[in-house]
Amino acid sequence: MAVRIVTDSTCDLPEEFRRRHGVVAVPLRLHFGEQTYRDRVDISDQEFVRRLERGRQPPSTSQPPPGDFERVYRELLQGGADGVVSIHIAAVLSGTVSSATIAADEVGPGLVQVVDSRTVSMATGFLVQEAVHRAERGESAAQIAAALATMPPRLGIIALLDTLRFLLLGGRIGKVRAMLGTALSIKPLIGLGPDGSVVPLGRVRSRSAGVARLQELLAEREPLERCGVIYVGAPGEGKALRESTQRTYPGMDVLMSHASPVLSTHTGPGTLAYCYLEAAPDRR
Amino acid sequence: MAAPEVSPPVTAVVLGRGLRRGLRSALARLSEQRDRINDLNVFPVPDGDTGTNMHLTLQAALAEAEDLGPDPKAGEVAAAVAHGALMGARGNSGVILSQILRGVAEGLRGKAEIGAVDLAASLKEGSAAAYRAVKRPVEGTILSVVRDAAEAAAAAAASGASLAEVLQASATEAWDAVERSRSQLEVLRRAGVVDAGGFGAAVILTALAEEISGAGFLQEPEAFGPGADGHRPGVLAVTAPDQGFGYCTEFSLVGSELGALEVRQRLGGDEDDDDSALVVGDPGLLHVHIHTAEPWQLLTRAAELGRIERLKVEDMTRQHHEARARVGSGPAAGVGTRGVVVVAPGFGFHQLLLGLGAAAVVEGGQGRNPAVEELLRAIAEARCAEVLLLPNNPNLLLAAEQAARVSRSQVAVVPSRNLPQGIAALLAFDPEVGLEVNRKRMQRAMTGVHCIEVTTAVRPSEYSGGPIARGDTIAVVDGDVAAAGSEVEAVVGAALEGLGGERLEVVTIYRGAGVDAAASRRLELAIKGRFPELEVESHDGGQALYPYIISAE
Repeated sequence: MAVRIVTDSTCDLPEEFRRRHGVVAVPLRLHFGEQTYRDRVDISDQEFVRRLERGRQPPSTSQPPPGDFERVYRELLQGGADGVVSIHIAAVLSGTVSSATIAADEVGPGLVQVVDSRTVSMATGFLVQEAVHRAERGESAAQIAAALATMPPRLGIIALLDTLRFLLLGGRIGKVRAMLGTALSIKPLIGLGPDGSVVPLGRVRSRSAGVARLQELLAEREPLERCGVIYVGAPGEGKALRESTQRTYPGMDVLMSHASPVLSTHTGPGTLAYCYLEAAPDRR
Repeated sequence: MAAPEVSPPVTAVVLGRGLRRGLRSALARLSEQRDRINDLNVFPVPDGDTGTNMHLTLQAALAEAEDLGPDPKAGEVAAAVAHGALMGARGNSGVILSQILRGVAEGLRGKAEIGAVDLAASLKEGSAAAYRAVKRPVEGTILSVVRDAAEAAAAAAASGASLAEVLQASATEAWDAVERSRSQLEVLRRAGVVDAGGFGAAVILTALAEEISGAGFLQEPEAFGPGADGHRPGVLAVTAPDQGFGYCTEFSLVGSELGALEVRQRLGGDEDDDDSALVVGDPGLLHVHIHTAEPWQLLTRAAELGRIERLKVEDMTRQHHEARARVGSGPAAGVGTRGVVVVAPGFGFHQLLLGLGAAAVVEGGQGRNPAVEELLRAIAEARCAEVLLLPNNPNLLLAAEQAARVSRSQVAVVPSRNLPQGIAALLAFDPEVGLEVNRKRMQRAMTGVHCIEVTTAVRPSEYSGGPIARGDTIAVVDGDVAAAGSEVEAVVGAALEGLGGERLEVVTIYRGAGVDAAASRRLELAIKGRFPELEVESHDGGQALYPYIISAE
């Protein structure tokens, strides 16, 4: 039997894709005060955002314990998988990769390949898609992992936030700190640098200016192989952005997903984002 | 037998010092008329500063001519005046005046004296230079006044008129053209006034005509000695050691046999990174303006070349600290490489802009346009190789472009017409990308941002929505009066309605100097009450003249 693909709950691929291709998503943990929830298992995205909007303090998040990964890996291998490729949120943003690595060592050498996507959300999802296609073509776990390792420089996320507040509370402010020097309320545009850390991409005052800038930033990354729309909260704007993006790139299947709680808690309600995969140099 | 009748000289000329006297007279006359010219320019909001701008520009122009020797050539006076105007130009009318003077100086280049034909030709050059400086020339302004005056001068000169007659013909025609402006421009017709800039130009021409035909235009033979060698003033950069902000060192170097170029080499070395360093003038009298960490060494070198006069040394590091202490210190965007220089009125705006990452802020706004020189100083203070300049006022556009041309930094002007546009543009600035990319992005960021300026009508008037009573609150939206009435909340509400009301997203109120926070809060609540979907916030702008500047986007 073929190689199986594992990811985590931050990978914002449509659920339907995961189910069809047997991709297992291991949930991160969300902590509201004393209570702990498994991301997208014990709490839905929408319920999470409602609590985020109401709450004074956003919840904290933590990586899945290594035991969760170990159980998943063993189940898959016992079920007949030739190997596992486990693809996760950037190691600089979450301890998920290290939990997965501990579990992989536990399971035995050479059976599980852990891949640091060095990105988040659907950009991690694009690696998962690539891995699925390669596994279905019969590539080994090691071959797939080697192929994925070259892709992170082409992956990215650009996000329009409604406020800097959640980024600040989540402690992921990084170089975006420079945007704080003003009394004027602004909506920041952010992305992830090559190492997965948060970098500023711009500032606007209105949503419409922000959406326009988002589209400009995406166009600057052309030619694209894949792209998708991520939103936090109400789906209206996300749908509109997906439709106009689909018109801009008619040959591409523009996916859309609500952001995982882990992303939502750091970016806040009202976030609108693109994830993208730039075309490989030989296909430009 | 009676003495033979002396006939008036047929080809009378004016010398450099006569021209200078004429300009002194023009400056005095402009000074007298300054408030009147300002008043002509008040429709329907009090942005009347044409008189002030023209007066200060001519003052800067003449100051440079005063620094010439006792008996300069006419061409030298004109060149000095043109240069002084270029450096001291204030506001739109000041910049246009500087271009007229530049054209005139081109026409008089190398001439020791001015005859009727020279004068007519130089006025024509002045008119052409002014037209070149304005992207969309409009009839009924200083442009058409100067053009008509130049054509009248040409016609008079062609028919053999004397210098005095040519000047008188051009001044007379200038006043006729000023009178015509009343019917040429709808905005002037409704206000019942003539064009302020054209009026100023006619004042200058009249003073010149009277002074020169009255006393100074007769040939003064004793002045025809061997003159200077026609060396034109040059503007050359001199460098300063690049440590701290150093000292701003200014002096005149008298009696040197060297030209500006040689003096630059003797004083300066070979680096050229100082924007504000100037050596200007002719051998014998040079003006030196250098920023240096070691003024004493500079002065020692200078003293070997000539006599130092009018020395002024200022500690710029201290000035900088004082300025920073006054406005607070925000993170400077792109220190050393790329930065944004912004013109804005009021303490509140300065703080906001520095907080948003402006590298330098120049005080200025409606009623107080900074001179080209002040813009250059701010560009130098930004200490950036590449600067994006936000004038935030259409009347400053020409001055900003002038500064961009003259500055030794690479400067791109983003033509913001008001503060809301300027703030939107500043937000789009990215220190990581090049000047041209930034210019385009910032310009694009300004679209869709509207500016509402709230002020009080100083005279009865009318707008598309009906009459305006004296004392009414009026809302000027993107430059046009859009609403008027007695109550500020209703006027602003109507202006926002006109901009799409609920279709807008963010409304920001900047309250002016003297408006208390409670009044501003009332306006904020009124807007929120009328348009519940909008994000509304208010800040202290501190601007003069406008109780509120409001951005709507």
